[in-house]
Amino acid sequence: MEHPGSALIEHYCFDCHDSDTQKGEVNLEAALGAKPLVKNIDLWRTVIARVENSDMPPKKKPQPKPEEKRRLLNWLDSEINHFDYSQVDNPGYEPVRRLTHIEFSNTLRDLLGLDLNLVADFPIDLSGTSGFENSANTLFLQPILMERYLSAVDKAVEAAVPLDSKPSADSPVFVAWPSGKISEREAARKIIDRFMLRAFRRPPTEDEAKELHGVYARSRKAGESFEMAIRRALGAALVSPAFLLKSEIVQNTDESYQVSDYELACRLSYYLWASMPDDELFQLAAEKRLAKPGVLAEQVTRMLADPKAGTLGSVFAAQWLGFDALGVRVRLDPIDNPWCTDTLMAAMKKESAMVFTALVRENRPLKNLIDSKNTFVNEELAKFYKLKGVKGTEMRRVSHTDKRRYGLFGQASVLAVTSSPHRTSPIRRGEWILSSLLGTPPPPPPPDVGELDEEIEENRKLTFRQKLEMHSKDSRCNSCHREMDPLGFSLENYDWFGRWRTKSRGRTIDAKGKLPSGTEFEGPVGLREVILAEKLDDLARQVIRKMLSYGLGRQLEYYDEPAVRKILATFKKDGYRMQTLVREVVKSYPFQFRKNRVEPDNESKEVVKNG
Amino acid sequence: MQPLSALAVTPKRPKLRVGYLYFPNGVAKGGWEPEKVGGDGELLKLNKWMKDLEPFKEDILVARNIWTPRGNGHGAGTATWLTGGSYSGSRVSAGGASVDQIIARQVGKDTMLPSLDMSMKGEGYFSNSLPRNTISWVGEKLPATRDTNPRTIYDRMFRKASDGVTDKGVIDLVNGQAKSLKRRVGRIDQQKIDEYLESLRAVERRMEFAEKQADKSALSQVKGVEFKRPQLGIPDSHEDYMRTMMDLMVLGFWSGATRVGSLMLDHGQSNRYFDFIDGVRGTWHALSHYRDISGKTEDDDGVNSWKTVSEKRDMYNVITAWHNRQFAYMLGKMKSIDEGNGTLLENSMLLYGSSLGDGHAHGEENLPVVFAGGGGGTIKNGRFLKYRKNFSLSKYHLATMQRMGVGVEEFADAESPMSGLTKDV
Repeated sequence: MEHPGSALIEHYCFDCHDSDTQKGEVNLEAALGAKPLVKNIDLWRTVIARVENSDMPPKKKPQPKPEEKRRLLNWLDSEINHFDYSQVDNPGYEPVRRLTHIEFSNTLRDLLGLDLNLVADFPIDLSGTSGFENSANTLFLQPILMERYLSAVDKAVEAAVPLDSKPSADSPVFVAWPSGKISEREAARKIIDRFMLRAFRRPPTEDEAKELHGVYARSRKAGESFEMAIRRALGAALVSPAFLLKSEIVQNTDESYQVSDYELACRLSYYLWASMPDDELFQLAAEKRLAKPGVLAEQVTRMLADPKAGTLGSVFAAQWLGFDALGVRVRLDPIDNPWCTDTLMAAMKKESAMVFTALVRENRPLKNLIDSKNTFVNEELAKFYKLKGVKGTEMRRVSHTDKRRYGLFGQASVLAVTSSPHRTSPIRRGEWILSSLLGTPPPPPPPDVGELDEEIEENRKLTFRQKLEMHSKDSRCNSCHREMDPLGFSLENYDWFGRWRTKSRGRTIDAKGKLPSGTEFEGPVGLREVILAEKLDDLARQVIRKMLSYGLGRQLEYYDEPAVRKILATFKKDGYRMQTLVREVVKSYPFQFRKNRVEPDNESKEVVKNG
Repeated sequence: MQPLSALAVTPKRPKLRVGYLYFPNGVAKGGWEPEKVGGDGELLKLNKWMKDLEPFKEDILVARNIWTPRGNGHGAGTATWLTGGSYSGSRVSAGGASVDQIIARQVGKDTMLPSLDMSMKGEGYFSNSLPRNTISWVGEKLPATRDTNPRTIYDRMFRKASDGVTDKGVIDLVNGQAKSLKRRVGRIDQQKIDEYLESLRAVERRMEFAEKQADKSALSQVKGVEFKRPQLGIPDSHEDYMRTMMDLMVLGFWSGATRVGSLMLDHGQSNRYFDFIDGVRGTWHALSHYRDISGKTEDDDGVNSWKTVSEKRDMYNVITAWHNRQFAYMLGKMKSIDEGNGTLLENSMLLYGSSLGDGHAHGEENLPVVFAGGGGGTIKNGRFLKYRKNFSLSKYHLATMQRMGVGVEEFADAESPMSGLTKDV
């Protein structure tokens, strides 16, 4: 039987929000039909906030009686915030997807042993709401990209298989070469077989093998050289969907099942390296030993020590925390701002990436992300931070002595990407802390709320902060802005590019901040302390959700919550040490299992934020 | 009701082409109203911001009160400008395929490229935002990838496929592999494999066409269509870049490489600086919020502010006028190409406009649009379509589809085509 809460929603909300009306793209009829309600957890949380705040139903519409409102909120609270996840058993499903441009580039590099950078002219990977480029639902393969793939493949095989000289001895492609001991035919067989396994990241099927050997044979028969025939066979492998798409083979069952050893090797390598598995992983997969807990743990240790694990900082952390956008976002006139060079911005990004990777490699606790005095700089960045004694373009480890620069909040990269060009944005910084860093976003602005309006405009003598505070006095704006703004204001001493300042437009900066809980603090040092004292668990939960989502290449769904909770328990018990996080993600149910899926998730409409 | 066949263009005429030119950020209130309109709605004089379109008065229709009932904003509005649907960020869906892609599916079988999907390379914030960079949708959830590089676009149309490793044999082979893979992945993944297969098919078709088409580039020296292979990379001058992209669309239409084209003149929330125009300060998006002159809102750059609303509005209008001038350049090109039976412009239908109305008010009502081209002699141009009430852009899309021979009677919210193209409103 339907809960009475459901009838209340129908009565008070369906006028504007049923399947026909869908005002503001909100369809509560569909959402009510999607059980359990946590399937649309974000939508329902917005509903709860709107009803609590009396933003909805709108004033001109019939209002629920206080008794009804209480009953409705209690019901939603129990369905959404106290849902019993123990009844959920679903590891989810990694959909087939193409490689991201970064993965494509890294995979070719490792496959051929050559760093060719062939993706520079690829159409950019656009990002949707999921946050990571590797999310299957924004990775499309359209003709334009296919053409780029084909031309990249041409260049790749030309570079990998020289026509007029013997290839380099350490080429991973040439596992054999015709000689007195081994015939051309035999050498070709070895080269192509090995290449297929590595390019497809699994053993080829019989047909696939036969076809590629056929490409070689036909070319030879047509009178082309051995090298040319190898080129053609390798090229055909690189155009194959088995190379261009990352796909897993379904087993015919309704139950969940463990992914194959080869698939696990792939999940691991794209998670930790954003690239293909190496020979050791392939070997363990062939022996069906990779999934054994001891072996898996050893492999994670080995993989983290590999330089390729730097992608945890340069891809994962960069996309999670947004600093990958630096450079694209900042447009400066080089004549007025000769200090702002491409090399400086590259160093800023590298700094944040390297700091994150080091946290993982050295198995530091998560809190060090916020408060570590260690960082990485080169000469240009050191000068920017006013650090002495660093020479050259190479990034190296240094320690800040200035407490204000400790940790993430002192890093220029994130301070710049959360600003407008030429001006800080306390709102954006506050929103970034709450949403990106802590995973506790404020609800979207209530419908029909204007931006800073004329009333504020008239008060030209006020400081920027005073203006924003006025705007936050409006009760409808205030519910979110009282959370966001004070966090952002505590970073006002950093200008829009992360440089320290004490004054803005002639006024002394007021960097007092306040947490939603009421705790007051001042400046970046204060912010750091309160985040660690009150928000470390939120941060931990967020880094788990983000890392799991990145590791799986998909958005998390409600059924992933049990896995998140399990990882959180172990992570916390271990003092939030970063390798525990990485390992627990690898051990998790969604990472090692899958369940066949018929319908895409998340089919009911959600709130859409208009730009 | 008139039978659809009556609208279809007579066979003697060259085939009809359709083009879509999108610009972001709307226009200032009043910036699209003609200065003088005759008693029967004829365009007598355009306003000063549209003066570069004055020579083309007889080739265009200007409209008032066009709207998109389901799409609004810089993101959702851009993504649904050509779909008439509503946008969902979580599902990455535009509510349906876009009109250009539906037409391309129908008529693109006979051309080298089913459609030419181009964008000016973005600058600043939101340059990689999916909804702000997507107006064309192959399917509800499948955005068409856009090209930004003039040289690449030219080469796709006019260069023979190189002697790469991917010949017909290889394509057949991987086609077979994809079909076999399709049987082994989950049902939900099959559409991804189809995406692969269709992309491959498109490449294959292009290779087949390339042989014939390569000869056409030699022809591009004829009168009116002087066009060289573009330089590598993005031209430094924004104007050169935009005109090159427009040339490419004209060239694609004229050579028969495609009959469907779209060009995003910027991404949906462009914060590009137009300070290469004398007297313009601040980013386009900041200027579009012209009633706030403080220079201190979230949209501003912290450097520029303005003395009066009218000063700021004028700068915003100057940017609109600059785009109108580029569009006039394209119209001029198309009008100069005689196809034997009418000019290229007469044998085309172009939609030029934005998904925002008044940029400051941020609404989806009274969108600035110009309908241009003769539609193969099916359109009565030279008028101001003064709709009294909101009139859905979907009706124009439907009218276009029917003229292109797509057998549909409805599109998105439109149940009938726009009759204003042929008669008074």
